[in-house]
Amino acid sequence: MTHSSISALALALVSAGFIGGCKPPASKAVGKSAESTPPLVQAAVSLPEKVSFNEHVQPILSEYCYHCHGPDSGTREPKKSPLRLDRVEDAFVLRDDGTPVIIKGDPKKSLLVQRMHSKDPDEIMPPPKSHKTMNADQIAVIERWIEQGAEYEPHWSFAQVKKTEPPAAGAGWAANPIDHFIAEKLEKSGLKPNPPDDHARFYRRLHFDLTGLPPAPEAIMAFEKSAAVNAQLAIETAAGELLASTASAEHFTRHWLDAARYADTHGIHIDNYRAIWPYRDWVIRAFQANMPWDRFTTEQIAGDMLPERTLDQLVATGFSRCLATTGEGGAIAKEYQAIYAKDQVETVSAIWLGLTTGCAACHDHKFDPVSTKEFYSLTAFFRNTPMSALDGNKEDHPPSVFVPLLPDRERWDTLVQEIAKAKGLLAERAKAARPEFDGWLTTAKIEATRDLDSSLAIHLPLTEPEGPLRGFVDGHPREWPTVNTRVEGPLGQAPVISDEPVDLGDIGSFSRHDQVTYGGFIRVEGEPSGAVIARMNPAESHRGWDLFLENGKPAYHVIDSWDKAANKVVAPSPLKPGDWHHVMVTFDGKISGHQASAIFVDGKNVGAKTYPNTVGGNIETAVHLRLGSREGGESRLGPKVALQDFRFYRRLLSSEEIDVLAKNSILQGIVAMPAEKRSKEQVDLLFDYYTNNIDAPWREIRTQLDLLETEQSKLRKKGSMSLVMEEKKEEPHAHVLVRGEYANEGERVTAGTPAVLPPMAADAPKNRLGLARWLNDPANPLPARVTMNRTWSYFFGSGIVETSADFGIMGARPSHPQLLDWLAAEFVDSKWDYRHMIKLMVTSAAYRQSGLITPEKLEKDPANRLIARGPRYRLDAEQIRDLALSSAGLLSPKVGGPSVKPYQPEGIWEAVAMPQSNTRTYRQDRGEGLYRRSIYTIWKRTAAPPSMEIFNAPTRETFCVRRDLTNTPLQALVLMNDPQFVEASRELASRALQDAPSFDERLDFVTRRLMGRKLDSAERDIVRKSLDTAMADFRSKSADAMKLVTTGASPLRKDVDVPELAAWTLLASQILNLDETITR
Amino acid sequence: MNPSEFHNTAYSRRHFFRKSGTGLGMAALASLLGQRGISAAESMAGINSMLPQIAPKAKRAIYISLIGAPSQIDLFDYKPELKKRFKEDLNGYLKAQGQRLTGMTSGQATFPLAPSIFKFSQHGQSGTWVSELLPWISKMTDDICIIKSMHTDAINHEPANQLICTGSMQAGKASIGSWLSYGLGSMNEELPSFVVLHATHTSPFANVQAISSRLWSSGFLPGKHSGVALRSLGDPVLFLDDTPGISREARRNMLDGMNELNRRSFSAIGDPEIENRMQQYEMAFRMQASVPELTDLSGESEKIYQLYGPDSKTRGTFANSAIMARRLVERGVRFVQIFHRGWDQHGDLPRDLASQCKDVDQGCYGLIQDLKQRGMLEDTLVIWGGEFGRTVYSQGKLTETDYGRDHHPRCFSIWMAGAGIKGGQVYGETDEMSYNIVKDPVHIRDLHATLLHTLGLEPERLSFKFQGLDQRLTGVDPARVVKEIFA
Repeated sequence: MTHSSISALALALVSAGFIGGCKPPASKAVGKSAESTPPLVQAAVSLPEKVSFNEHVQPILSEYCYHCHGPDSGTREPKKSPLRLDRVEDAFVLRDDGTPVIIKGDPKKSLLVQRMHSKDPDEIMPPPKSHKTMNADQIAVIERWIEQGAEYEPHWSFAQVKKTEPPAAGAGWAANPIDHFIAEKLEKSGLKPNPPDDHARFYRRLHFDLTGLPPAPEAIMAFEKSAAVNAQLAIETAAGELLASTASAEHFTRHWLDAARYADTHGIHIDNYRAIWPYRDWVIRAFQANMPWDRFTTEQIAGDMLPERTLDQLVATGFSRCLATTGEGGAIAKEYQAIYAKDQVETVSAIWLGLTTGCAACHDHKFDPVSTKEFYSLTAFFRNTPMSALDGNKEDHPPSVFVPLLPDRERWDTLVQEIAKAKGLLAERAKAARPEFDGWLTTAKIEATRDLDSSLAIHLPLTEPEGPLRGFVDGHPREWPTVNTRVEGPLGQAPVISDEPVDLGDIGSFSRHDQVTYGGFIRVEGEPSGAVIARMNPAESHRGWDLFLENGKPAYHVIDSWDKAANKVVAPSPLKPGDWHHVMVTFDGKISGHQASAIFVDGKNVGAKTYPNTVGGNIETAVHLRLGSREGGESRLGPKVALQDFRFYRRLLSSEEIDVLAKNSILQGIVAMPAEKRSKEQVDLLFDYYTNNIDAPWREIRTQLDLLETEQSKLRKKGSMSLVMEEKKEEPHAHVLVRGEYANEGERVTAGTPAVLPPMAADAPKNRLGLARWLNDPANPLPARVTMNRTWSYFFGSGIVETSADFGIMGARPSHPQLLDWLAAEFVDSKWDYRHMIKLMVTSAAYRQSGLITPEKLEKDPANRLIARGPRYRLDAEQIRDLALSSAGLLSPKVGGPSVKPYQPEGIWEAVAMPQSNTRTYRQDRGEGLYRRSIYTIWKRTAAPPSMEIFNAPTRETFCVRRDLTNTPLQALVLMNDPQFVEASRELASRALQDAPSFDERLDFVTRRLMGRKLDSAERDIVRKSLDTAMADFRSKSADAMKLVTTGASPLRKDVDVPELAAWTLLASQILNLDETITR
Repeated sequence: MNPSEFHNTAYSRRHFFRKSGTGLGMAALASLLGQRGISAAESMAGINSMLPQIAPKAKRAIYISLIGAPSQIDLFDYKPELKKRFKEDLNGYLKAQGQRLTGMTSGQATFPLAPSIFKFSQHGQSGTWVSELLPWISKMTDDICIIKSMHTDAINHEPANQLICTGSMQAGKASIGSWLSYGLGSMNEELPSFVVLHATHTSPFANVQAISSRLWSSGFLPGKHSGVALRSLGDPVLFLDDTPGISREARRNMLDGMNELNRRSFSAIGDPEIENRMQQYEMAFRMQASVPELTDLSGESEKIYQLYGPDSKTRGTFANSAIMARRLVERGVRFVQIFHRGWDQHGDLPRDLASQCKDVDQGCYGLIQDLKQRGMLEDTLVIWGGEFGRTVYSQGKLTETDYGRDHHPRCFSIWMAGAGIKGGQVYGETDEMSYNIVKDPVHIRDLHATLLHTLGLEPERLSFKFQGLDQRLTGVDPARVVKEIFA
């Protein structure tokens, strides 16, 4: 046997359980070469009686010949007269010598075979430079095929789905049609199915497979009872009930989110938060409602284009917005548009078509009949979007839509109407008020902005023509003596604070996590530098804050320790000398990075630069607040700066509020102008002021509107924006990108589907809506097959076609082609009833078998491709965590909503994030957020939740239709030491201790929840021994015991015997870590 | 099912496989021998894809990745003539070159030429020119080979880092270390074969780029070949430390009980995965002892700390990571990659590049000298470099003392040492503006080919079938082993 076949088989074996695999962009990597080699046992047996092109010949030709003699014209050899072997119409073409390379019926005369046998390195095929060698068995297959007439067949997956009658095999064993197909293959291979699994164990597996959660002990008992009477009926009833649960919808959503590459951040570069969880909740509701699969497809692919689309249908299109995007400063839009389009096509291809179309991005597909041109026609469907290539690092990167929480939806809709109505009234009143306004203008006077706000902690109007400065601190009047001169300001005489610093006292301190807004009117001469106002101690590494001028540019600092832990924010341009400008800054200690800081000049955010932006933990200092310098006279302001109406708010003012503060000065100026000199815009500004401040009827409507808008903003906070798709008006098109290079645009193509598959309906629009229709067209042989295959893999561990995302020439062959077709046809016949199909699978006798592995079966069918035994696989990452939480009684039942932040070791995000990312710092939730189902854990794409990633959760950077299943020491460390598992063990132990007094009852309490069964007596002895040792140990080291039982945020129950609880915690952890516990 | 029900059906796996003398049995045996067994099976497949191997020059490699792209013009690629052309506008030249610019400078009205303000001098017997910013590396020019003619296809960080770390700008490919782990296997039972270290940068002004695990991911290769990051905060390996209150004895006691229970389970079900899991728990238990020993640098001598410099005692610094890298390769880790971020000097280059260099300079020197004195340099390959180069023109305002540089994919400098590479050598040349390469270009895939070759792997043969294609680190285009740099 050659190396290659050994390795193929070895790896088929490896796939028996340890290595499966979704690796980023694709289907699976069963060890080494299982992708190309059908890991069926039959492949290893000797020469078949009747050689089939599809089953026997094509795998050989595609492996050894197609690279140079296949679909890709770019690499076809020999260059002067290319030979193509993958299509019947080319394979028998007469060559230069007047004969074809394959002579039907005569392998000896066929050049194809002669070259395979050649010893001459210049002649032998495949040539030495390919590093591939055919073995004698493979050549013999080719020879027999030619002998038998060299018949070509169309590739199996492109052929129409054929629903055949289930075979007769399996009578007496079969529970439904699925089993007859399974039984037929088993009989042929001489294997017998395993006996049914024990009821309790079966029910636990069913429960995990349908809900992702362990069954409650009571539910197991109930199932055992009804199964004892009529097992099949019990299974059918249980499956129906479980499938109808919300937990089930969450579970299937989790599978789907892997495929849809759902995550809560953009994914590339700054990797900021992205608002798209309403899409996740939509998927949950779709599964909960058992939405027909064709609708599920249509709404996600083209919900935005449906007539009279609903909000839900729009949200569903978030599917195509789940892709990773960038906001990197230097990124080139065209390049990323090409990357995104490729990702969209690859994702849809993998999920619905099972084709690795991405290969065709650079060259015609090497093996599958998908040309480069066809690939780019597919990209056209997704390129017709107004979405900008760069996401701007914004969570609501348009197109996006606001989605109220479900219970708020109705009120939200009426609010929108009421607000529109109020706005109409307001406009009407504005018209009516115009004559009164004209009258008012003759005597107009602008009042200083009223101080309605208790968050205004410091207010210095600074309008006195002489004498001390006057102001308010927390609403109380205060005075400060000064010698400063005065200049004309917008609201009166303003002090020139650069004349002499003023000590304002011990006021205006704030902490690192506060939100503040401060600033006022500033007038400069020249380009002065120094502190306008500061509470900052230069002697204490500049701890504190200030408002600063740097060569006339407004700036501010918030400093823990300069310059290691500090924010410095500088506006891009200096203030215009001689004019009054309103300067206000905001600092948001609740978020990190650039987003925390902004400078507003004359009411407009000027896009200040923050540098450095690493503000530390402590910014509070004991020194006083000063005008005109920092503590000790440092950064003395000069040359000439005047200040008026300084305000310090202990909250973030909105940009609108800051704008109002700024405008007042402008208004003062306009009022002071002669009427004829006022421009229309200036009069409009005055009119705004008039209606907002003087006109009572207008103000009344405005108050009503404010109330409505406040209510709306409350609802807005509860809901979320969600990214969606939109279509541009023009006809979708794309350019072929030569060799996949974005800048190398070739032929223009319109949207279309590959010619090897049935065409789109004649009347279907050539856009996403048409694409959706095509994906749902029963004539399209792939979507139903691929969907059923993937679904099958959820229950049986691997698909009928092992390469779930590759049904192409190089993909694996189906182990049960007729069964796959039967399922696909049944799926379509049932009007795409997904739940019906799942129920068929889990109520089959095949699924019900025990997982026992006998040497005979391991020998004959190591990867269980024939399903002679029940599936036995490790639980997925989310299932393990949910199992722990659920058994401990910690799991929150809440469904949907924003993602949460459970326990995570420190530094995971920080190690990779950019400083300005708003997902740089992980701030763990408190309370319920620690205990939600794992599907709700926040997913930062560049740093996926580590304890889940260690258990093979994909990173969600690209689609994943099948997860890896490895077994590593890192997993052991997570289950033993991650605080969330330790805490769960402690809570489970604590409940067990409370529940019963005896060792046996307590142990049952633990194992029934974790393993779904009671231990037998031998097992009890083992556990008892461990417990006794632990108990003795903790009795002598009570401090250790205390440390162990105080792991985690949930409170310790009162009156517990700490060493006893510690020992039981270790026991619960021991059970939790067992192979059986984390296996279904 | 009562787990003891099928007790009698349990076979010793060895017994079973001894019966089947076929290739199937052998392969199965290899695949089922748990952890070691898997690698045996894999390496069998690996051997198949790679045979014949070539004689390796190195057993291991350390890759120092400077994320953000250090400026070649200010460090290694000395262009004294440029002084005279200060502020010359390159607008016309760039248009003629037809070069694409990043979104950051494409809108600039002028492209003023910015000569390096740093002094260069010659060092070592070879007389190699190095900038004053790297006084320590200057001392060892005779140990290293500088390649000035590196070039890449990417112009922005994300794709460029992906290209240099995985051979492709597309996500989902396998990283260098994963390929080595897959191709060569492990030399140590207690440590992963590919370890990643994140060294901290010290300047608060450093322009820091994001990285992600895709740079050390196994991509389509089995997950066990992924780089394992040794963290510089908290547990060096996630959850390595036992929960407070659990002593080693308590853990042992728990594992002993677990083993007994799992063994019974195996007897009943016969699933080889159960035994595999037991071995993983034992490996975890051993790691709990071996990793702290590895990361405990207290046994290092004062002389070593002096060699690597004053930062080397502080956990997480570059110098400290360099010592850690040496300890890792000493213990049989195949590939160590140190990531140091903050090299993206679009503005304030003189200030920021200096502090970045200070972070790494002495640590690099210490590492090479330390490997040398231990006799390990001869079979350890060390590579130092960023993801692309920087422009000769200034981004933003150019003054006598200040400038910034944008991304430049057409040439950049790296250095390599050890593994039979001839020191004191400069390979490749760029034109008078460090703009285009004029001699001996080295593409990233050539670098990858050279790296694989040095470790005894044939770049063409190290492949993995995925999505119907033979995937390679060097991609589909021909790659060249740069044989000239070896002694």
